[in-house]
Amino acid sequence: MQKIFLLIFTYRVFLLWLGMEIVGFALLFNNRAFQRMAFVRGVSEVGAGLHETRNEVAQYFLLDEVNAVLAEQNAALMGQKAQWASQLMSAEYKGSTIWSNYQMIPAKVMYQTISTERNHFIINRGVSAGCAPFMGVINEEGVVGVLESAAKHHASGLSFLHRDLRINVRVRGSEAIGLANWTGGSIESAQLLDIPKHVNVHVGDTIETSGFGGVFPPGIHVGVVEEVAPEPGSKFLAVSFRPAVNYSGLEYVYVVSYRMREELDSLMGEIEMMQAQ
Amino acid sequence: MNIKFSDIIGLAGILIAQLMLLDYMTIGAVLFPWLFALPLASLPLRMDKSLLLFIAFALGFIYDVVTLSYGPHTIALPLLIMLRPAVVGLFTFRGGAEIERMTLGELGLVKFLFYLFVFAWIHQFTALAIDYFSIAGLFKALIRGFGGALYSVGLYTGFKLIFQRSSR
Repeated sequence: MQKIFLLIFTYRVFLLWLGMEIVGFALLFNNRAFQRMAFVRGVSEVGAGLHETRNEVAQYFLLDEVNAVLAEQNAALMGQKAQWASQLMSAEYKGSTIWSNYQMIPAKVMYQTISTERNHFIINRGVSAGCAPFMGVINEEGVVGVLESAAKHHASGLSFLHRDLRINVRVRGSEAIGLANWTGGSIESAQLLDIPKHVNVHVGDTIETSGFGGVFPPGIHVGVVEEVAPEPGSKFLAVSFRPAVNYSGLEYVYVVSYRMREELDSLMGEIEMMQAQ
Repeated sequence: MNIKFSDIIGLAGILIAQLMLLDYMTIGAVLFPWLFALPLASLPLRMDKSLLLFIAFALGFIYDVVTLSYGPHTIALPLLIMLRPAVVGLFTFRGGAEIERMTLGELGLVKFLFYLFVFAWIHQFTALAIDYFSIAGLFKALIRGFGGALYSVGLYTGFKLIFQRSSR
């Protein structure tokens, strides 16, 4: 208390002056309408400005939440898109419902590598969200990778930039099917394997998923052909392409869940057994 | 050094003169001869600042209430007192430590007139800016305050010379 009095005494002149100015302004605003209105308008504008700035700052810090909501919405839209594609496809292939059997699970990339020959990533969705090994992972640009293992709340996967990962693809507009594989080196170049020499593949052609194996729905962008050359001493073409996804900037992805997975796996198992016999 | 009774009488006299006579000497409703603040410039430099503030506030308040201007001078004069040491510092060494009052005799004519002019300009600018109460009005207050300060200092000096001569 003594300190407060000491403080008041030290600044008594300033406080006195402040009091006088307040009285002066009170006199002004109470008796002169123009100044009062201008003051009220000014205070309102400053208040509105502060409110706006506060909102902007708050919104900036809420961006993560907004992004998550947008990712959810995006996943729902992708699901709808898949259903419409299914309807379109069913017009071509009666009875086919392949697209509607895919479900998108939005996730955020928590960790990833791109500098080794066997790159991985971890996402913030796991078994509790419906994720399981061998599910495809995509984003709005194209194929990201395939899940390798799933814990309760997180899952890890092989990035497309993993030299052991091969993805079933086709060249859009042709009947050429093959395997997409990144063989290491530059992240801006990958290989399209098993394309026979008689197939017409041109620079600029789009490579997309074929839908075989049920890991990815058909038509997901994988890359664009950059170079085509006959492979010496082989029946196949050497095709290199630029991957569609910017792997260094991965943030939000979608895990592709195929509803008929068990059925497909059992059939594929039977085929493998028959081949083994 | 404290305020003299004659200072109070002088302040009251100039305030009455301001209200009765000087307010009718406005040029074109643009240049205002607000002389009543100028004696504050010559009050003792080392007098109690709280008392000085009270005097300035009372002068401004009475003038505002009587002329129904409500506020500009009540605000401007205490501000002027707060700025007075800085203005004194512009015209003296060591903030006027060797001077008791800022008078014509202490400063010399030119310096004293400049000192009064700056003092008057601050008063005029503040009061006019509060009167216009807008950003656009600030420039107008600056220019009109300049003219008003020149006019006020001219009149004040003229009156002072006349009174000094007649008292001799």
